[in-house]
Amino acid sequence: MAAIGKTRNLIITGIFILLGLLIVLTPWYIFPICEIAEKSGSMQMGTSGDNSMNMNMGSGTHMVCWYTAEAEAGIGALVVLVGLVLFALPNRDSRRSLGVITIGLGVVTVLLPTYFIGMCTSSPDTPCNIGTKPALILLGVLTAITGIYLFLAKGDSPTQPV
Amino acid sequence: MFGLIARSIIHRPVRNGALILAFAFIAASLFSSHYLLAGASDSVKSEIAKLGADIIVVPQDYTADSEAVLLRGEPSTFFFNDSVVPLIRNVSGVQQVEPQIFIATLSASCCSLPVQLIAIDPTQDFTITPWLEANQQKPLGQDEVIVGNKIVPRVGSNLTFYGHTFRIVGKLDPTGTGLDTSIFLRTADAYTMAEESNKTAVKPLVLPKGVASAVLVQVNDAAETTNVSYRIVEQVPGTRVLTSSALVSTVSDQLAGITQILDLSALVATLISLPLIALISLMVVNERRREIGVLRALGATRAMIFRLILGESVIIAAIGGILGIASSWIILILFQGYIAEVTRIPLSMPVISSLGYISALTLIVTVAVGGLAALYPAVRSALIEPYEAIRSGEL
Repeated sequence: MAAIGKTRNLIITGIFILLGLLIVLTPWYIFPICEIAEKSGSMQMGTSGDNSMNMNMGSGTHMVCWYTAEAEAGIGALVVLVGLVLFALPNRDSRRSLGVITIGLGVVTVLLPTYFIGMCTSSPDTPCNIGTKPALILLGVLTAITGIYLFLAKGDSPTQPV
Repeated sequence: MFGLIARSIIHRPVRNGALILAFAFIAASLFSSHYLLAGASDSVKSEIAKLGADIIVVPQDYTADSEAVLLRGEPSTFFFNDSVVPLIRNVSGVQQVEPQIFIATLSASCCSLPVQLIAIDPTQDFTITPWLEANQQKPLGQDEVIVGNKIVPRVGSNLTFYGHTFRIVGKLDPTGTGLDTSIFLRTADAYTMAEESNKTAVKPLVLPKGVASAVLVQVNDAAETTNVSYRIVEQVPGTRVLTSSALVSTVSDQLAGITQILDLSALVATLISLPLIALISLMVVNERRREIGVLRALGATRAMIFRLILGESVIIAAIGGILGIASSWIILILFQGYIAEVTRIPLSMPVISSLGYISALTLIVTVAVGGLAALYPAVRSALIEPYEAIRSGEL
């Protein structure tokens, strides 16, 4: 595994901030969840124009995918924070710790839409299932891979900044 | 030799990383365009194969609706008089015919969207019956339905359409086409449902007697499909025929824009990358003049130096190609549903043979581009004289 220099540390910081922002923005703007897509009309919900999607709602007043999107916003913000901490504390120990945290965040990013909260179950063809979910899975996997790289990368002594 | 090439690639991570990315982009563009075409085409073929029909005869005025039902599962209700059925049966080359009735549901209790009901006559059916036999199930009974793969409720649960309740007895494998959102029921049950709908449904279903929406045809000789299609159109007025090849051609036309853009971007990337990669390889050769000189002085032949430089570029291209194919494949699988929704085409993963062919073709093209770009620098490096090369740069 290649050693991490100052430039590479900066690149990884940038990647984390980018991935974090994408995790936050994807469910609301890039691949919007059902409620947002329905409101904006960015994706055709069917030919009938009926409002039967409301049956997918969770315990509150929103659909299930809404809560996943909210949780993902929190996870994305944490990934951005990891990037900022890495920028401020680029020594080996913090890199390894941040690497482990990022792997965990990546895994949670994948598990939120697939297992913990899930997406709408009425049809596999809803916008949250065909757009938001795969995009979040992809971003989660990329986050975890970057975390693994950060954890395994050789660096300088525990206290010396790179 | 391989160890030398590997060390040389690892020694220049940024430059070679950028080259790998360029090759990955070329490979991803090429792979994606051919994957989409093969996926759509295999999807349609799989649907036609599942229907067991060589030809589908539909009302002339509803050709587009029929294609929408079969390709995209857009629910539709249309009929023609079933007097065409004996006429089609009498056309020379026709072995078996099966009339089907298409009924679009209102918003269904099972699903967030309306679905397509397909009514079949079990005595004439060759679509669902073979599937039932293969899955060791009894023939479709009263108020029993077989559902497409995307219908969410499980086998054994009930579904209600127009106030009539049906029980799911089987679920078909995914096809990526309209079949995935279709529900098969008996024609007799469809008429019962229509009669009851006057009392039980918000909007009654009007289903006249003696109608069909499509007639599925099996021909005696598959090679004669086109000729039989022409004969049906000639001899049975008011009909149009849909064949597997015609449907594949329809989706190919729909995909033409996207595949052209992808092919064009691969071409542009190749045209831009080719001289750039050649230039970078040439720069590397100039940088490594002394190294090459030492290798020559140690006994490396001109052919070995040629292979060294060419091999480096080919390996970088191969890594980029594999990376591009793998990443685009993962993205295409993840976003398969989204792509199908946006492009309005049926899409499933191409069969393994198609996938292997597309991957191999993409890799060969990418490696060929890499080899071509490094050809001139490799020749230049092979011609370097060891003494002059070692002394180069000295004052």
